[in-house]
Amino acid sequence: MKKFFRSIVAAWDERFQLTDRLHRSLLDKPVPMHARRFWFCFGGLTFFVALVQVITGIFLMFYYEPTPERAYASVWYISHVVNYGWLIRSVHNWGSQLMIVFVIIHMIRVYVTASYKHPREFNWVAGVILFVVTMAFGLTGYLLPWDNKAYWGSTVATSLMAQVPYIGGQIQQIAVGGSALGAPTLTRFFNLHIMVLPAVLIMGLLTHFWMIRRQGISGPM
Amino acid sequence: MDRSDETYDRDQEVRGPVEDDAGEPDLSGIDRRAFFGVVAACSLGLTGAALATPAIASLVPPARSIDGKTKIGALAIVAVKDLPVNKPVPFEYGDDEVFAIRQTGDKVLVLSAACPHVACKLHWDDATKRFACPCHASFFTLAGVKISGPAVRNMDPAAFTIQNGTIVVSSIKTA
Repeated sequence: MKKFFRSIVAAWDERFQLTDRLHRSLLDKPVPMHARRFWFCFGGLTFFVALVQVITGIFLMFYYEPTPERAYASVWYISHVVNYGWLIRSVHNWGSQLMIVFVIIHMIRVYVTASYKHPREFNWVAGVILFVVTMAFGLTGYLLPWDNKAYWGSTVATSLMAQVPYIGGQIQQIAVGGSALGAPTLTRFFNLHIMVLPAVLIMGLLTHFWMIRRQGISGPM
Repeated sequence: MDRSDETYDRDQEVRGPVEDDAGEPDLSGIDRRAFFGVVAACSLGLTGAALATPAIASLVPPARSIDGKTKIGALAIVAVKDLPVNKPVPFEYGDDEVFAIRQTGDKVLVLSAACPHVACKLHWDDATKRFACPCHASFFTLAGVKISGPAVRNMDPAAFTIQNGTIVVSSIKTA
């Protein structure tokens, strides 16, 4: 068995040097002693929860139907009929809340250890963009069950958008897709939640990780 | 203890001091690194299996459709002549249960056994000749018409046909 796997790895290594490259580019980067602390884990934890959200989200999409007639029924169906649907939906729900908690703790840690300072200002900006993306995930996902809480919660959230000076009305119209929350809003939020935001998240994370690898973890306090 | 970067030696930390192994019995020819490799692989494998089970199981289409219908299609349940007159008999239909009822004059009826209130399983009370709900005391006649209780409608009928004297149920809707 072990020999069999070894031979597969060897065949790939001979052609692509995968193990060596993986080791040099990703794994052989010891975390400095001063960063081996509980509070330094929350960036990685946020990323881990994000992966969980992607996977559980994919499984929810097998059953979710983003139309006003079927959205609530399909969510009910997931929670009550689909095998382990309750588990997948609950993990997605709790993951969304944990991700926001983790990302805020991560931001506080970076602030307290002054890691955002020169030369890492751009990475802080990338992080703030990722924070906004995380919040947008929460906002758009909140509408998808299409129950009363979702409807009125999103009504409040999109009404807040109208409070932006001068262009608030337009922002709200674009978000809602009309004058009042309805089928266009559900379509928009669903598209944002599963296509647009994940694309932005992936690009943001790649930038975030590339910067931290280029610059290394900030020094001890 | 000084834990600054200058004194940090990764290999030292991974392997541990060499003296540690001196004098200890050679257990089975696998070193500590290989042992922890096996332990890590086993726990990863177990975790992966534990996560894959609900994920794969969720993809198996449930027996009940999104409309609440059991998706098993037509099912022959009983011959009309085998049914007692005016005494409902329960039969399983997929995840659901139905009552087959042969009334006086061979009028046949199939009703869902789920109470239309909150879907508790009804039973036939032969003493009072009515369907009774054990949860909230809704009562229905032999034909499924509501007598009293919190249910807001009559018992749900199941769709059926009679083929060669046998009752064949084709669908049932339960909330």
